[in-house]
Amino acid sequence: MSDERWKAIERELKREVRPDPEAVARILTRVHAPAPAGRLARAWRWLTRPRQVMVSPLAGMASAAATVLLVTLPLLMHSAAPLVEPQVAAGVAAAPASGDTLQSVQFVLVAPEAARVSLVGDFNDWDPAATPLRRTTEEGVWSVVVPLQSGRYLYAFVVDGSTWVPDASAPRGPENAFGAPNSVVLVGENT
Amino acid sequence: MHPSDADLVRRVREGDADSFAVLVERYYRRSLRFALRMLGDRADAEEATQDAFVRAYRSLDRYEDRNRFQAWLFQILVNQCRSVLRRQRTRERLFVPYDFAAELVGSEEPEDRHWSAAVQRALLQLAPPLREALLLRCVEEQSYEEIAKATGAGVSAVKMRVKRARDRMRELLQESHSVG
Repeated sequence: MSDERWKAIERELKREVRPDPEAVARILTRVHAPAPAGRLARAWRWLTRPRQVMVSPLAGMASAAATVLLVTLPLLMHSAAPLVEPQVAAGVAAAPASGDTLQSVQFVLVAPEAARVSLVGDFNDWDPAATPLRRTTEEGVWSVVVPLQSGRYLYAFVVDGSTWVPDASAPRGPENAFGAPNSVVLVGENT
Repeated sequence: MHPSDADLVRRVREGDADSFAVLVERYYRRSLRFALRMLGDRADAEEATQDAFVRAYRSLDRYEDRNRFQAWLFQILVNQCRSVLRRQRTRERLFVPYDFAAELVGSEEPEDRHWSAAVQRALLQLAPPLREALLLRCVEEQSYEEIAKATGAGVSAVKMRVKRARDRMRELLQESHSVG
């Protein structure tokens, strides 16, 4: 096939598409709508929300330890709101890694009852076997550091191979086909 | 004299939200073109494009002036399209051949419409990473470095993807041409 042929393909690909005349207005309406609450506000609302929790003595000890960690993790990780779900807590933090664009992003989940936890996301083709988290404490803090380039990624945790857990500290992404929510991490050069 | 993208971003950051409207007007059409070519579906493309602009607005404090605004916007758009593609895959969406020319400005001749449909069909047969790389390079004319940043691949991988995408498009359209 000649270069002329390729040029014809390229010309076709570059053709202007028919715009939706109302799209720009819709975008601007959404842009000017109030922004969703930030991580800290949401985490605070969760922390102060009244709830009834029933735990076994052993789980109670683990939960107490997890609570201490939730307070200290953000300090250790430089950023990341403490976030919690009734059974689990998670967080994500980024720090520069070697290389121009790669950053080490730490994903943390507190899941005392879990036997195994893995991370699935855009960066590993949603493969539950690709990125297991390591249990770093007796109390059930699971963590993994993933080198990521700048960009926006959807991700979630998979607990015990079957339970899909979003990161409650991160913005929610679109649900997957089975209705399970995902989380979003934005990795920028300054994060 | 039109304000530069950097000027507009600065104004938005200073509180002039209306300046964002100029950026949307400036980049909506080409963003939609990318999404439509990537996804092959008008509703999905509109959703990805609109979400990308909203996310860009909310992340504007992370934008750095030394990058081109368009390249930065496309980083977000690429990710939005990937999200939609995943959904398309999981809902087992069928790419029913349709009159893609209807999505384009112009093109009334039957011959042109046939060609438009063939090109889009070929494009949708490429693996998404190849499709992304081809569109960003050959249509949006981004640098390999910008594409690497947008796609998360290395520069040499991007170059390889563009080459493979072009070769595959040529093959597919050769077949299409000889069959049709």
